Amino acid sequence: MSDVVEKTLSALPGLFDNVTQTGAAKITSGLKQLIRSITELTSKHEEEKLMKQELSAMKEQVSSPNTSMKQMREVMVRAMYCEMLGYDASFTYIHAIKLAQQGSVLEKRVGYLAVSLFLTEGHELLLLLVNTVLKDLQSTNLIEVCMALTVVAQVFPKDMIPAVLPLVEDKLSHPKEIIRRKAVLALYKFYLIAPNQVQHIHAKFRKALCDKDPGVMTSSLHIYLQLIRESPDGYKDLTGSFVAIMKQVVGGKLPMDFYYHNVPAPWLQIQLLRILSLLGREDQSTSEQMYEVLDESLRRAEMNHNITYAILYECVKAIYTIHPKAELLEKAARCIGNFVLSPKINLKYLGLKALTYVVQHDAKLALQHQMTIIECLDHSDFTIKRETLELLFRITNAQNVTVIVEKMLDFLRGCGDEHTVIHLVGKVAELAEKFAPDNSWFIQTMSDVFSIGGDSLQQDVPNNFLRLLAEGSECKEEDDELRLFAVDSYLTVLKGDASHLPQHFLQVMSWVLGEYSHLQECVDQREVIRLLAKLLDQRSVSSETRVWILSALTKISEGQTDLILELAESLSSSQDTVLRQQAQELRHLSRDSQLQECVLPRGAPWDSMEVDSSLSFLDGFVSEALAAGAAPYKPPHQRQEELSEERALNLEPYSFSLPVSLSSCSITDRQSPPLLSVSSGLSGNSTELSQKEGSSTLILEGVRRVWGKDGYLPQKETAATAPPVDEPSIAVHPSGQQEVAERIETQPEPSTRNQDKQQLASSLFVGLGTQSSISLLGKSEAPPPRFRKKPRPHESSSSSSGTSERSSDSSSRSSRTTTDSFLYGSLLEEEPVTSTSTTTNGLSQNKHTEGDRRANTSQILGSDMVIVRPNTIQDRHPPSASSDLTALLPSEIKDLPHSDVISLTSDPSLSLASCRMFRDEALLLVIFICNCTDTVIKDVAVQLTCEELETASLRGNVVDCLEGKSTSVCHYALLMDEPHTNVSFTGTVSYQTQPGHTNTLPFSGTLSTVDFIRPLVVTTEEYGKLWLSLSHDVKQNLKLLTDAGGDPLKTTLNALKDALQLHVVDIIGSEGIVACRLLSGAPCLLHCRVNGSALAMWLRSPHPSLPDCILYHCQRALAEH
Amino acid sequence: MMHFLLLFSRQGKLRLQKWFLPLPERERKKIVKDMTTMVLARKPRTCNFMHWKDLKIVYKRYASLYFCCGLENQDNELLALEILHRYVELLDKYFGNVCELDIIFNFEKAYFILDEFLMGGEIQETSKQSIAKSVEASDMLQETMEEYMSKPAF
Repeated sequence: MSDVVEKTLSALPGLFDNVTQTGAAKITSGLKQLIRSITELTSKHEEEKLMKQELSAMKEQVSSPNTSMKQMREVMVRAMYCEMLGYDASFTYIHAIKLAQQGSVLEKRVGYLAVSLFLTEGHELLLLLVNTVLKDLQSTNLIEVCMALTVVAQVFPKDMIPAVLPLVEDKLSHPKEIIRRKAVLALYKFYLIAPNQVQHIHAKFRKALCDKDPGVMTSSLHIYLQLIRESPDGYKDLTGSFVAIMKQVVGGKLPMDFYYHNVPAPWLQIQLLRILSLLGREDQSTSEQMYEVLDESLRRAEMNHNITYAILYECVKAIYTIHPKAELLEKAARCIGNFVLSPKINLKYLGLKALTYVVQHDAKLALQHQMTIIECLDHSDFTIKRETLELLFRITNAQNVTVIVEKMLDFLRGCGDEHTVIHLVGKVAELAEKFAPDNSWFIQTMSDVFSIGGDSLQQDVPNNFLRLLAEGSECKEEDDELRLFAVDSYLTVLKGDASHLPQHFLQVMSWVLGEYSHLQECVDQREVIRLLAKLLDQRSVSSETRVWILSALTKISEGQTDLILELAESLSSSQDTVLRQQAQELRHLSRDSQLQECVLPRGAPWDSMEVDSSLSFLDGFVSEALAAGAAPYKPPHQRQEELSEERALNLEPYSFSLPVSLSSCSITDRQSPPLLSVSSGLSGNSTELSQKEGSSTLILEGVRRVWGKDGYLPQKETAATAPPVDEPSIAVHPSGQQEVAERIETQPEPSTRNQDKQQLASSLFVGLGTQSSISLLGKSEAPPPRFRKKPRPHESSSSSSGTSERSSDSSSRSSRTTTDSFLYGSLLEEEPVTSTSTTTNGLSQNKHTEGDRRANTSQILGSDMVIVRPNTIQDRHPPSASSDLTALLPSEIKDLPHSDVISLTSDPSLSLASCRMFRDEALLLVIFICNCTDTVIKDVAVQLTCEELETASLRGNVVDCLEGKSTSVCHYALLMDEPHTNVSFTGTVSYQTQPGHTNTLPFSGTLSTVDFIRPLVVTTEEYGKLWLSLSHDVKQNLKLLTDAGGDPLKTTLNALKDALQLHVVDIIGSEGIVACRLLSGAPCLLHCRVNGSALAMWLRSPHPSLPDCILYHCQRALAEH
Repeated sequence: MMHFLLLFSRQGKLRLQKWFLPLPERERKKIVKDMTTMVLARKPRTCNFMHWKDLKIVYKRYASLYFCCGLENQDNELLALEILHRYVELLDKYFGNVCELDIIFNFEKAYFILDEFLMGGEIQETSKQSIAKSVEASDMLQETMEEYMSKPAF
């Protein structure tokens, strides 16, 4: 290739001569001069000198008032070149903006280019650009509009989007398709940066999707891909349209402009395939719509060109993602064969990737290509090798784990890329934990992992390993054997040269030695102490590791007072204060054996440690501080939002008022803290406190949530509640292994394959046969996560015992129970009922006795309702005699589960009562309007307002004529979008007793989140997958109910299930998983784990405040129990 | 979505850089440095794909220039190769048998073409003709303005 460079270089002078003759070249001649001088230079030093001169000359030029725009443009091009070479030309930035602002079109173009190259999204000068962009967006010159749209998509940050959004939106209906296309892409970019700011234009996206220009439609698919990725369910109705578009494209209906190397719109095809695979995933009926077109695009893409392979690859992926169809799968599998067997290395690479994706569904495919895989394993290309290992990782089982892990470790030893090492080392650790055949192999592999992984290793690898050692399994002997083995092997390591070992490894070793070296009787404890003390002296050991080592020494110091005192003495002059303190503690402990026994009881069960994660002991301190005038705590996200509000800029131009305020409005909306605070997550006693003392309630609420954040929790606590469902497992059925082995043997063996490879193959692909059929049915992208991390490393098959324990209440969806007690309590306290004797339809005017009432309630509510109703409330509030009202419900909703009827308010003419009915998709608030008089009441109209809730539908809110002693029913279907702990609604009823004389009767009431929660029925596998995809989590320790005899976990979960509408997915051992959803669809997953006498609850949801809400209700439910 | 596109010479000299995501200056420099060293160290007859942190790197050499882009994990590598190829075709059409020097001396033109081709890290226009047309339209404007400006004002 060097001759090409020489040729071009020799042509250089001629080139200049040519260009300098044309007029355009004069302008950039400064640049050409610069480039020429740079190429003539021989050293970096000379270049720097030249650039210094050049930059100072430019500086002078830009600051001179005589420089014309034209010259400025030339300077700007030079400045771009300097910046590309890595020299700072920031003094020109402001001039770039000026050029874009004031220049003519061609200067503008350079100005905008310079701006987009110089100013990244956060740059403060960008603000100066807003006006220019606004002006250009409204220009009649197409080129100016194009330039403005380009720069908007390139550099505009989140807080500047509102300023231009309305104008960009307008461009969606521009007559020129190029403008529409750019506008759609700019909106796509906005969507990526700030999705909620473009929420209101979703309807216009649909318009773009239906645009007559295929280019605009293609651009809109970018947005749809994102939207569908986030919530595929919302867009199933578009499947037909996407399939139709795909059919047209594949069928060659597009104009020739959209062809690329004779393939019709490949980019469009691939985008559609991705969208279809997202839509068809785990959805049989949707998938069925697309089989035909997938088949066709497989068939059509037969030309031997990269672009057809790109389409094929996406096609195969789509076929394996959607609901399976045998015929298509077969074709796709054949297609993968074409990739894998291709001599072109790029295709081989993609083939490996496709296999990696596909073996999760059908492991047999890996068997077909085993020889290719083996060849790729020894390939000289690093990328191919790595991809092969990814593939092997997916097909690992208990039989081939040793070979595969060995291959991975070999690769890692020769790999220099830190990121790859971290990535793969994690996988090795995962495999080792899951499939380790025996103790010695496991410990040895983990040692390799720690020494290869180095200090960049992810923290959870050592954490998981130590947890595994510490928690142990049911069989104590086996645990001790493993621990003993670890102690032995680490002692050997430490006796050698330990100076090069990574810190993580040293920390693990010191912890293990501290905890378990007493198990090894033939080792002198003094020897262990000496080895650890030797580490302390090494300079390469970090101070964090020193703390680990000292903790270990503290644990084994018993009886070795002389050595320890000596050590403590030497450390007491250390510069590190933490070390000094630990040394001091060490000295005290070693002098006082009683204290030592108390602080560090040997052999105490690991999980007996109790951590008060709610920090309730600080409540008193906090209330004192608050009383003394301290500011209440605000959670970080709230602080962040407030901060951003302060910083928010007013980008509204003074001249015209755009609907900019709309977005800023939505920001302030979100700002107002959700109502969830009332002791959300307060420990039991402080809840009571907050209820009793009206004044301090408010303040306490604010404070509490801080501590719930895990940042404040001690490290141990986090480890204890570490993710239980983070580990996928492949079900292994040893019965199938022989069959597969036979199959391998009986395969025809061409003589070219050498013996070694055959052996390797049989060791790599053993045990792959049977899983295939199972996982094909499962059709899950990741292997089903194991519910609970098995403490025993060498137990390969997953929790078979656990599944048998599965609680059988998956059908609990239908049973609806209410937590009326406290809700009603608070409701009635807030809203004292003025009239206790309400007349109902002339039927029951007398007060029910308590016994009557009970009978009534149970009769009305049917068998699946449980009403918890403390006597106190009933005593205080005489029954409102309205329970018979439920008989008046319209027939279509009569059978729904509902709460009992409570009286809202009344006046001499009307009395109002309400009842909540729980529909699957909404909450029905039923309002009974009873005419208490004997005369007719006219024009009764109900109006209900609630800011936090959304009214989906209403019925019967206007009644023309209400007869005397009769009742009218109106009902509202309500939805809750943002979770709030409690929501209050207000409303008025207006009516006319005499013509022209309108009375109004106000009423109000409260609803709770619980009313809007429904059980979410999922399987354990779905739960595991969902769990990993959710982002917002909250952890908290709750009270564990211990009823007579029963399993406390089950009792507690049942209590919660009854109080809130939850679905108990599974209970395995000491852990239970529970799922529910908000009516709007946001799921919330709860993971409960018995931790001593507490229930460690971990909630996850896509919604930031939903876990808090649910946690609050769980706490209240348990407190009331 | 494409995160960045870099053009650099066999000597590791940067010829063009386009960032589709906001990155601080230091990070950009690091990426440029890493990409040039990684890509230039690749042996012949290896595939055109690499991993870098959580990005996929796709590169291809055309004469003395390397075209290199960073993709997200779900993107299609082969398709990215074709994007690079289409860009080269566009440059070729505009400059007529493009060579590295064209891009060195007229890098702003190369940027203009790129802006018509990609937007926000996604393909905006795949048709060679349309892109050439819109670039030429702006150029034409430039020419006429040029003539207009250079005319002596009487």
